[in-house]
Order: sequence, then C-alpha cells, then structure tokens
Amino acid sequence: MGVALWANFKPAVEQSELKAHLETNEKNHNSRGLAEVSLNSAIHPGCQRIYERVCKKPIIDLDPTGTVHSDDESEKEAHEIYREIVRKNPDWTPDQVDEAFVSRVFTPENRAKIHSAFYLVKRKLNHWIDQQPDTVFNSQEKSVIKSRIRKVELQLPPPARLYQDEPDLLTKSELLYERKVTGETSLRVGGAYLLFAKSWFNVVFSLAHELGHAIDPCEIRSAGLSFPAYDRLVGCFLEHRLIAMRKTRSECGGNDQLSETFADWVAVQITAEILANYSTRLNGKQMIHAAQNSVRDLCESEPGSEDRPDIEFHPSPQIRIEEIFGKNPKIRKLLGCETPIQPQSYCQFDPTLPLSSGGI
Amino acid sequence: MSNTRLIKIAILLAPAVLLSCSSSKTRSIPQDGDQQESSSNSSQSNQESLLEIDYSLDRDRYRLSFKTFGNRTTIESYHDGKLVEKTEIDRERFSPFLKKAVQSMDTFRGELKTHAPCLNPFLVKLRVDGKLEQVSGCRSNDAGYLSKLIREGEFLLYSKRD
Ligand SMILES: [Zn+2]
Repeated sequence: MGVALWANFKPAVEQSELKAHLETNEKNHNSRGLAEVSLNSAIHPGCQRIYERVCKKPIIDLDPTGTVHSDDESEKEAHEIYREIVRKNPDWTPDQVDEAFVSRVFTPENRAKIHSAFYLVKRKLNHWIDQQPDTVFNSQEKSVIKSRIRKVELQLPPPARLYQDEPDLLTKSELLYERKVTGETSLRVGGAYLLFAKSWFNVVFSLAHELGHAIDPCEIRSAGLSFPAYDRLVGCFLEHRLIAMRKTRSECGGNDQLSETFADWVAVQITAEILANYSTRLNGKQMIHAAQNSVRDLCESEPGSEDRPDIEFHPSPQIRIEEIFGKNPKIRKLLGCETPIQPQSYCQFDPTLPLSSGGI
Repeated sequence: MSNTRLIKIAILLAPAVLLSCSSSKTRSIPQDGDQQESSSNSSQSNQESLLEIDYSLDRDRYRLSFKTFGNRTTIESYHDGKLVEKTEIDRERFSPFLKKAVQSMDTFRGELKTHAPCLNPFLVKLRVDGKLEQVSGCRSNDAGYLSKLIREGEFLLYSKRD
C-alpha cells in the first residue's frame, strides 16, 4: 500500500471501524451508562508508576472494544477446541483437523477485525514516515522504508493450508512477522490470538509492533541498508538503557534487544495516534483503560509465577511498559498524566526536534 | 535415507545401545528449560531417551518434551517455562514420531544458513543413555520441517487424554 492508498484514507474509516467494535462489544459494557470523565479529572496519582497501573488488572475493564487475556488462557482455549475436534473425529488426518479448527476460529468476523487493523496500522506507518522531516529521512530513504512496509503480506486462513509450512501456528497466540530466505515478508496470526473479544487497541499495538519489525534496524541492516537517523536513534536507546547493555551483546545478533525495542517504540507511536483519533468516542476512563489494554499483554505474570518470557531479545516488561510506553508524551496525555517530559527524555529520530514534530 | 541415519534410528529404537554423539554447535536461542532439564537429569538413570524441541515465537518460548521409560512415553508441553499439557502414550505410537524427529534433525543440519538475524530460532535435543545430540536452526529457513514436527508432536498430545 503506497501513497495512493494513503490518499484514500479518511478519518471516517476509523470511526466506522471503531463503531463496529463498540457495537460488537456493547454486551460487555454499556459505555453510554458511564458518566463522562474528562481527561483532566481523571489524572491518576500513579503517573510515575505506569507499569503498575497497566499491569494491575482492573475489576471492570472499561475499554469498550474488548479486553486482554493472557497468552496462556488463549492457547488453552485453542487446545480445547483442537482436542474436541480430534475426539469427535478420531479418523481424521491432522490436515482435516486443521481445516475444521480454522473454520471455527478464523471466522469472517475475526478475520475482518485483523484485516482492518492491519491496513489501518500500515496507513499510519506510511504517513508517519512521510511526515518525518528531511533532516531525518531524505525522499529516497522514505520510499525504501515505505516499500518495506507495503511489501509485508497479511496471511490469514482459511484455508488452513496457507500455513502448511507452519501448521503449529494455528493454535498459538502469536502474531508473527516473518522473512523467508527468498526475502518475502509476511505477517501471520496464530489462531489462539483470535479467541476472546480482544481489545481493538491491543490488536493495533501488536500489529504495529510486528510491522515495525519490517523496518527495524536489524532488518534494515540485513537488507544492506543504512540510515543515519537510525544510528542516532540507536544511540538514544542505548543511552536511555532501553536496550540491555551486556558484555555478550552483539548488535543484531545474540543477546541484543535492539530490534524488539525498536518495534515497541514504533508501535507506541502508532498506537498513541490511533488512540488519540478515537478520543471523541471514548470518555476519559474508557480512554485510560483502552490505552492500558494496548500493552497489557506485555506484563509479567503474577509474582511467583513460573512464567519466564524472553528477555534475551526483548526488553524486560518494566522497560517496555514504564519507559517505552509510559514515557511517550502522547500516551501520558491519554493516560491523564501531564507530567512534563523534557524533549531529550524520550527517544525520537531527530533529538533536536520538539517532541510534537514528526508526528502522525 | 542414508545408512548412517538408518543405523542411528535403529539405535534409538533399541536404546540400550549407546548412541554415537555428534553435538552440533548451537546458536543463541532462549534456553528456558534449564529448570525442567535439571529435573530430567535427576531421573536420568531410569530414562531411556529424551527428545526436546525448544522454540521461540516472537517473545514466547515453547518446549515440547518426550521422555521414554520402558514402553511408555511421557509428552509435556511448556509455555514460557510453565507446564501446559502432559500425557502418556505407548512407545509404539511414539516410535514413528521419533523416527521423523531424527530425520528432521538431519534436515536442520543442512538448512540454508543466511547472514540475516534469526527471528524465531529453535533447538532440538536428543539424549539417549546420557549421550546428547542437538541441532539448532531458524524457523523461517527450514521450509516448515520444524513446525510440522511440532504439530505432529502436539497431535499425539491432543489425541490421547483421559
Ligand atoms: Zn517483536
């Protein structure tokens, strides 16, 4: 998708997308019954502890578009569905079971949701790159970056054989950006990811993260490209400890968090903008819950849990939520946190520009 | 199929015989299973064979483990270090899968290597009578062998439960 498709984009598209999700999930919460809460009146005392705010599960989730379940819950549900199909059809081959599973899980409604979020995020990314000043990217660099975003193909079953080279993904809770040895890039969606009414904003963040990988510094480097603006940004990530400094770290190799930090950083900016576009439809508390939901699946499990998410390639959940998400000025505003952030305290492509520049 | 591989499979299926060991160099992969591995070490004397498939999908880490004792094979699946599913099947049902796993390990060794960073690495370990063989790879480069192997292993898990 390039300039032509972006030109077709109208805010009304987002409004209709949101409307559909609001209606779909109206059974969860009757948002009209909630008192309007302005952002100013919703300023939260925990603005210095965004991680705690995000990760403390609310008693009632006021995000009208859905909620966030753990990967474990989603995968258990997917396993149950799979197991039920196997038991009812003991003579079926794995391929037949996969097809039945796909028709149960990759429903037209679920597919439509992913599809609309994917293209919304692509459009926003495209525009974000276009809006960067010439001091960040020249026109050639912009077109290379946008071309990489455009080339990522969304692959959604049915048929199940679309994932015939990766059938185990059908029951997983992952969104996966992949690059084949041929250089083709795709984004695939695990079936478990589609179970439950997931927050629209969590879907947006997750897709923006995966699409961010298409232009992350390591992917850019492996394509034989180099952008000065990326070098400055990486320097900022290191300075702010958004990438763990380890003796064993090899940039874009083992023990390196660069590509994941970058993907999160991109996703935060895209999600912040999409959240802000919906501010007229969500009241203050709904907006806060929606913003928190966008990254809630990044939280650590309960204290004492045996869960050990990867921290070799990913920053810790605290860094991802408290620093990359929680220090973004737009996110802070949406969370009702007006704490002033100095321009140099949040990384951007051009550190000399005010934080409002190069926005979406 | 090469003679060497046939011999290797034959040895595996008769685990009293020592497996000749040729550990391949492993690349960096999240090794989430140290805890489980130490528990399997403790019972190693009674354990005839162990097959473990560790793999990453973005930030999540998975393990599919098959431990054979006598005529029974225990299958366990882990997600980020946590046991998710466990079941037991007859060794007879496990043998064709094990054969496929051994063949796949040979395929992984011949997998096309690229200089690009690996987005979703994996590590397959096979231990028979304390002798370890392991091979690592990258999901996107293996033409789907790893994923198909995992799916078949999970199918054994799904299709047997009380
Ligand atoms: Zn990622």
